[in-house]
Amino acid sequence: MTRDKWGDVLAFVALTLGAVAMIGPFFWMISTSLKPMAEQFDMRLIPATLTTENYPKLFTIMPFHLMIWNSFKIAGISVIGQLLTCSMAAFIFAVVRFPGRNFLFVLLLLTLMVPGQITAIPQFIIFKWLGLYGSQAPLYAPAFLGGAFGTFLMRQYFQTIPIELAEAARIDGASLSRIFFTIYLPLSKPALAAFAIFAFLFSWNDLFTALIYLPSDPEKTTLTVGLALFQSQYGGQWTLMMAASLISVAPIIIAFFLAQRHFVEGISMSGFK
Amino acid sequence: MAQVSIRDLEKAYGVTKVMHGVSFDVADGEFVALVGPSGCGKSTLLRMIAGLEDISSGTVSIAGRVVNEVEPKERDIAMVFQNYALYPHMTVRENMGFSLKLRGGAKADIAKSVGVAAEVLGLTPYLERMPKQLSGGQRQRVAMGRAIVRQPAVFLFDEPLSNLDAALRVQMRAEIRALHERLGSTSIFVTHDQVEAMTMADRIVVMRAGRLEQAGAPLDLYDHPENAFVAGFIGSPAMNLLLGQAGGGQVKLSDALTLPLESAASGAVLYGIRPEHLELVPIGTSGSITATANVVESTGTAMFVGCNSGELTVHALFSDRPQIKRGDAIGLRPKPGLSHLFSAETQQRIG
Ligand SMILES: Nc1ncnc2c1ncn2[C@@H]1O[C@H](COP(=O)(O)OP(=O)(O)O)[C@@H](O)[C@H]1O
Ligand SMILES: [Mg+2]
Repeated sequence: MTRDKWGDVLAFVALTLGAVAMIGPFFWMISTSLKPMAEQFDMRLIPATLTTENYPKLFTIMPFHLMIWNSFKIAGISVIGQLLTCSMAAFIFAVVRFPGRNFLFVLLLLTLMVPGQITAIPQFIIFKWLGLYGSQAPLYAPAFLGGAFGTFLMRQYFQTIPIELAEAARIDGASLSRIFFTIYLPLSKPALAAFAIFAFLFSWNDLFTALIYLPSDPEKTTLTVGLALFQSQYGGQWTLMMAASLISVAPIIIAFFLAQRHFVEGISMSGFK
Repeated sequence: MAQVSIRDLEKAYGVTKVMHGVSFDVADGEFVALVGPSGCGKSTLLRMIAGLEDISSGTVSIAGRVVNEVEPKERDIAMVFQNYALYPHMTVRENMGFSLKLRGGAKADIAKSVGVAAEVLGLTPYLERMPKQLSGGQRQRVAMGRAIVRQPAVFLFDEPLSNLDAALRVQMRAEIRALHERLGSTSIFVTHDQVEAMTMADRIVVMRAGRLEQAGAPLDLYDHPENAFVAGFIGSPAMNLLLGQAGGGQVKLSDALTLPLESAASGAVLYGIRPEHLELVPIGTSGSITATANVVESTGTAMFVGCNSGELTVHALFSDRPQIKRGDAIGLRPKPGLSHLFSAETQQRIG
């Protein structure tokens, strides 16, 4: 074998080990969620008795379906807000030359260094003053105010699009917004897909904000809060816990597989030719 | 009336000044080539005419109207970019019709205009294709098609042929020129290739480092370059420019070499003679250069000889096929009346 091939073998083995390490706990979770309560500690990977009873039981304990819907709604609205505002800001940073552009961009990136816990209190005061405490708005409204991560990601992608396209469109008579919507957005589907998944994940996984603004009212609160409540009450019942966990990650896994191709393209930022 | 008029145009990026007052006119229906080495400011100038770049000072007028503050789309121009800048997600038809669609033209009218332009450019079979399904030459044509459907007063080209292979470049050269005649349009064509400029243009504007060096008809630039830069830039292979001392009807190029001069100039000069204006004479002929050939290249139509005479390097080009081999000693004599003389100090023409 040549050296290159040995390298391939090593990489393959390393990746396989990595994949096993990742998939192992996940598989364990699925397996446990399909066991009857009595066998939860039987140390078998394949359940001796296969049952789906844990799943319907979950929904009798707590209205998980309501919380899933809430999480979906909030994450969905957040994604729309982030896609729109971040890509708009990114477009201006990438395409329009204006004084102070680089300074403003660095300033924006600096906000990445500020932990969410620091802005939580002022933000809480603002939302309380606006009378939105107790509603879901504080969970998705900030998504409409842009964000450093998304702006950065989209700007990087926009910069791979030859600026001449924007210039040609300008000579053709297109306004800035026209150039954005009919040239840049359609050409940025991979980056938009990647960013949409990030934004969705971020919102879907958010427990901190939900705990602050949403009382533990199952009608309004999110799946993360529900899961935390559930854990505090049924912590020892692993079959139920694992079923609940699986429900909470399933949408993300499905979303990832649907957008996988775009996602990988968007991350590697190669996409444009 | 001049279709495009450039007056004292200056451009600075921050504190760096890249254009130092350029003025010239382009007449209605004229094909002007803007030529100069890379980085001399050709694209910047073209982009200022197009309205893509702010003007630091001076004016650009199109059809008698100062357009400094006018949006690109209102300037009645169209531009063809070096990388074509076709919209990758639109078909050829959509690419070509985009500007008309933005103007709010009726669907039928757009289809007709695009159809006519496609016919002219031989693109009719490709209208429903995407740009990436086209060859380089076809993309080039689509870029031109996008320009001509708008029927602009002025066409701007920024090195549109530089991404094509040599054969296609020659073909497109002729096609662009023919299209220019057919549409009766006014064109400004940027290139760093002086052959392109010479073969296509009615008039050439030579630029260097943000300054206009000379403007004139191609053969005027060839016959009467106003300075040493234009002399060296126009013509291929480049003119021999030899440093020497003039005086008493002679120019002394080295201790061993003195040539007769038709001018009465004196002092330090650059003596210019084009390779094709040197003739082969027997060694020792009066007024000739004795040199050793060390590069001999023949293309069939012409023979290029690079030789050394002491410290001097001289290039010669013969259209017949003299029997010269590497290492041969040859005699070269400037044809009478075809030499050029520039001041060594100012680089300007003095005879
Ligand atoms: N956006 C810019 N910022 C700073 N300098 C620039 C910019 N664009 C061009 N230049 C400079 O202006 C000069 C002219 O550039 P350009 O017009 O592109 O030259 P050409 O097209 O003749 O090769 C170059 O020295 C280039 O470095
Ligand atoms: Mg250029």
